[in-house]
Amino acid sequence: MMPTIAILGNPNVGKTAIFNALTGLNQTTANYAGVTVARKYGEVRLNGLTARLVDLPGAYSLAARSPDEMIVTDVLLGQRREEDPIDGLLIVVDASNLERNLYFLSQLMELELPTLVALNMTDVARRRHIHVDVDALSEALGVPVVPTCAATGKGIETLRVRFERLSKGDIAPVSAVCRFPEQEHSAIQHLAEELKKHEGALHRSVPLLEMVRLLVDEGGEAERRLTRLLGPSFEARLREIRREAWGTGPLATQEAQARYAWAQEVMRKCVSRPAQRVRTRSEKIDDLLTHRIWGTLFFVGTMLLLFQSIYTWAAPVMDFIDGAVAALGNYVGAQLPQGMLQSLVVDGMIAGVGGVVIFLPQILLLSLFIALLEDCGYMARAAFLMDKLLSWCGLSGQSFIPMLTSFACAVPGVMATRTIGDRRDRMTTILVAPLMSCSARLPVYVIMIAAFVPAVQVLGIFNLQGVTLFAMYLLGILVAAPVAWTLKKTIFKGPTPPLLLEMPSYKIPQPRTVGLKVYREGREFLVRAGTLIFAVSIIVWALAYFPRPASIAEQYEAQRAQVESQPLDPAEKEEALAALDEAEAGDYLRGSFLGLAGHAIEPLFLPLGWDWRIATATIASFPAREIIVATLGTLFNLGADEDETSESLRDTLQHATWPDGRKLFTLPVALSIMVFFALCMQCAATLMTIYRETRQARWPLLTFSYMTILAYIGAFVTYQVASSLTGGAG
Amino acid sequence: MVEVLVVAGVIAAAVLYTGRRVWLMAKGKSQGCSKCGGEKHCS
Repeated sequence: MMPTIAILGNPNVGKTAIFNALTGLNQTTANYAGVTVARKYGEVRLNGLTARLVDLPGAYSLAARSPDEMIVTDVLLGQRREEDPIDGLLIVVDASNLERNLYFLSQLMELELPTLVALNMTDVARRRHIHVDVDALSEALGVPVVPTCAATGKGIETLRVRFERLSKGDIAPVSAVCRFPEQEHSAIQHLAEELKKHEGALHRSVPLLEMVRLLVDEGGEAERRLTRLLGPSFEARLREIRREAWGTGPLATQEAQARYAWAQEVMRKCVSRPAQRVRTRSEKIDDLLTHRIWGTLFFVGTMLLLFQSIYTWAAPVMDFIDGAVAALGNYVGAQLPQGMLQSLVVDGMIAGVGGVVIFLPQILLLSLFIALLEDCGYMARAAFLMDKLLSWCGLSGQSFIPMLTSFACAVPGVMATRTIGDRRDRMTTILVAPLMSCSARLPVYVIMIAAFVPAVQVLGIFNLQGVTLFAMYLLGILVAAPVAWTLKKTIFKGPTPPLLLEMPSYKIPQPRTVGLKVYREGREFLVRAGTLIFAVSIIVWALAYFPRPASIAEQYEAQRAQVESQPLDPAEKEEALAALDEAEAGDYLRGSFLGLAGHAIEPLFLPLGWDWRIATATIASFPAREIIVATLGTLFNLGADEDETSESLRDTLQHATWPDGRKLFTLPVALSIMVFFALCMQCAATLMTIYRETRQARWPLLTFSYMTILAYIGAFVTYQVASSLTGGAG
Repeated sequence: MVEVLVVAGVIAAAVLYTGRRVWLMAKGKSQGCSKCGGEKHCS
């Protein structure tokens, strides 16, 4: 059977980077804690042997309080039936912060499994003038230790050789390294005797680690599981053993003292540090970047520049794609005979998918900036700065990383809440994370801003379009704050937990890591445009094209004949015929299945300034937001004169009118659409993830309801206020 | 006639594909996510 090795360590010590280096996979890494929230698997091919490597979320302790720590404990103790038992451990420790890492390592060694230690981030330790004696460390721990620098690949080959020995079972199981006080030690022995009596019911032996957890974590997961299995008599005996062990203080304190005493002893033997602590470059930079005023200004300025550049730099490529899509539509339209098939290809497929694809440059730029900020280590500083704002609404900076992740996609954002230990905080963060503007909202903002917000300068350096985009992203955060505050004051009432955040060292972003993230984001977007959005565009086209009653064709044929028979000059005749064509296309659309349904719901959306086409496109985009662009493309193309040269969606929307000839899209309408999309829950995948994470249907239902109501009210207020300010014209 | 058959085929395929995607999304059964590295698909 294939040996299974678990890779473990504190958060942000480079476990996933080592996992990627050994397996050749490309799992996501970033320079902040909490990137891995679900276990990941990979295979390591060695000389004639393949080993299975499990990457587990980082943890500081095995006293499981949060769901991510529970995953680690579960897998290690073999409590998950679907998992193979673990045959060995690869523990990754941070050479620049060894003492803290040794605490967790001492717990892991109580699993008494064959173990290999990777002493990672040796480059950072060297910069801080910290020297680790690898041989002495190996001797103190009783396991092989390999110095590595996963970011540059240094030491990975040696690690691979040792890993092969570990996988082949050539490394002996370790014994516990930490010595507990006498009373606790004898309590463990009493517990071992008690558990031996229950071996028949347990069907397994209980490792030292589990016994320590049983003893120390009162009411913890380990206790709950065993008392469920072994009954009240075991529970009573466990309480008795705990009482006996109560010596110098609570067992948890005794455990911590024993582990830190051991860690300090190892540090004395193996690590030399400068007597005077060297202030690192990262700390000097942090003086500025985490400063209450300068840090906040830097944060706001960086974000403003980010959105600004998304607009400015992406524009030429977007214009090119826009032109190419329009030219493709014209070319294909000319090649196919006029009729149903031509309309399907030009109005359904090309207008629908093409309208979405033009946003690729902006998606790529946004993900490039986010990947750069993540990889250089700035995101942890941003979380620190946000702690103040988040604490006002009852959350801590811990919620920032999930919320930040949600700016790319709410699904991993909701999953990232697993690192939040407090249940009330975690639930509140899950419910507000979808308010962050994900990348699927970007196309909606961009098309509306490009068409209806003038490109004028603000404060001499910023473009109003970029500022508007920034404001839309800010809106999510500003609305999330009172929503979180309300939730924390009502359903999830509780104190605000303090923020414990590790500041990773700043580093130059790795081109490979950044490139991979941008590539994945772009591929994801294109695959989505080429599959789901393509299919939905066809369905929307079919619903907007059929039925085509013969009565409309007959009526317009008669009118055309009438125009032809009139004594008009050729230009006037052409104009009259074009007007008839457009009116016919409009009548067909209004009589279509989608048109009939759209008119039925139109009254509900009139207070927002929307006509039935915008309302229908919005309803169609409830499963996934970006569908609105494809739907608008199809609907407005179908409603236009079929012979007309294809224009870009932006131009088409600018020229769209109400039946009485008034302009349909004005600035208030565009703003109301953007606000609706910023606040509305239009993502089936996120709702399903909320359900999976909470295991209760009421939470996704609550998220959907409150966000939809909020979106409607927000869009209504925006339209009414903007209309009164602009006189309704925009 | 050929045109009608082609259009009908394309629409049927689109409906089946969308239905399958929505069903998979609802069941949470999709390929591993390349975006977040999680067990389920993000999009």
